[in-house]
Amino acid sequence: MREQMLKSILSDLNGASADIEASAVISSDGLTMAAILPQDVDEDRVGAMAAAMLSLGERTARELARGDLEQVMVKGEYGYILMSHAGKDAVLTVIARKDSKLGLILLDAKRASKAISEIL
Amino acid sequence: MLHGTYVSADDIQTFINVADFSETDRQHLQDLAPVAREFVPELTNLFYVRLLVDPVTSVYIEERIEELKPLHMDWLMDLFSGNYDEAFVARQEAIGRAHVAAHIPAYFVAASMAFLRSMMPSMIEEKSQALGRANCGEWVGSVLRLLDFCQFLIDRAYEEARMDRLVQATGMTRKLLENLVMLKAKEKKKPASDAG
Ligand code: HEM
Repeated sequence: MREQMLKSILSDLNGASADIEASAVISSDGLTMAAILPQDVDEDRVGAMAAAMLSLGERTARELARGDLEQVMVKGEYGYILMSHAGKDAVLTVIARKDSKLGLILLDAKRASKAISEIL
Repeated sequence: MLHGTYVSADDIQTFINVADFSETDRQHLQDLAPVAREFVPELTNLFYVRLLVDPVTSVYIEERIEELKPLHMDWLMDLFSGNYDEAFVARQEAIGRAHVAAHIPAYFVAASMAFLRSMMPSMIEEKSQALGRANCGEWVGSVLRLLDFCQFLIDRAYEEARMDRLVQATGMTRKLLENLVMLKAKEKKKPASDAG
């Protein structure tokens, strides 16, 4: 039931912008709670890595006096990976294309995070 | 059933079963206490000589030998108390933690355990004969089993203490770290020529 609700939020998110290729909700322990990811992606690996990135981001932000973490962004040759908190114990991961309009994606992700945190 | 802070009762029981550590071993160890009293000071001296002659290990202990010797002798005598309860398990775990905190690499401990294992049989043999208890020489297996048990507990404490430090350094939960450790290696794609 909860997974269905999370999936529907992810599906809305992925549909909100053609720039968003995939997304997932991950617990802070790195377990995938719901995901709409390409078939060849290993959910366990992505889950653990995204949760690890967010934790490290949080630590680094605090260490360097940047306050509470809002998001972690990874930019690669072929696009972006955005990770942000969705409530206290979950991570929203969004995978976006290379030439994405980041501002819009961040807004959509923020909205989705809020909806997710209300369910969890 | 016996359990540790880090090691479950089931794991300890499996260790005991596979090592075949029995009530007879416990009794042998207890009976060896007077023999141990004879060789523990000498063994402790040799133990620290080994660590002192190696420049890699000596830096960790050279200024603390007199403080460490009695602690080490107590630990050795504790092996012959005949009482291997939860407090005994906790003491071995605490030793693991103390060594992690002192930044002593785990392989130093493993190496010095190997040294103890190599020295104990002849010392037990010699001192039991001197005490007119020649049969004790055959009980060395019980001591070796217990030393391995201690090393298992110390090693686990090392592992746990390192994980705790990672938790503190990274902010990741314990469970996340376990998940990362358990991730399967990514399968390499086979080159086309291998297919079929
Ligand atoms: C068979 C292996 C070893 C055993 C059984 C052993 C035993 C002990 C014991 C019982 C203590 C006291 C722990 C406490 O205060 O709670 C101790 C402390 C210590 N040991 Fe060992 N030890 C071993 C190997 C080594 C090695 C290889 C080194 C270094 C080369 C070493 C260096 C130290 C140091 C520096 C401390 C003091 C730690 C502190 O600051 O509290 N030990 N050891």
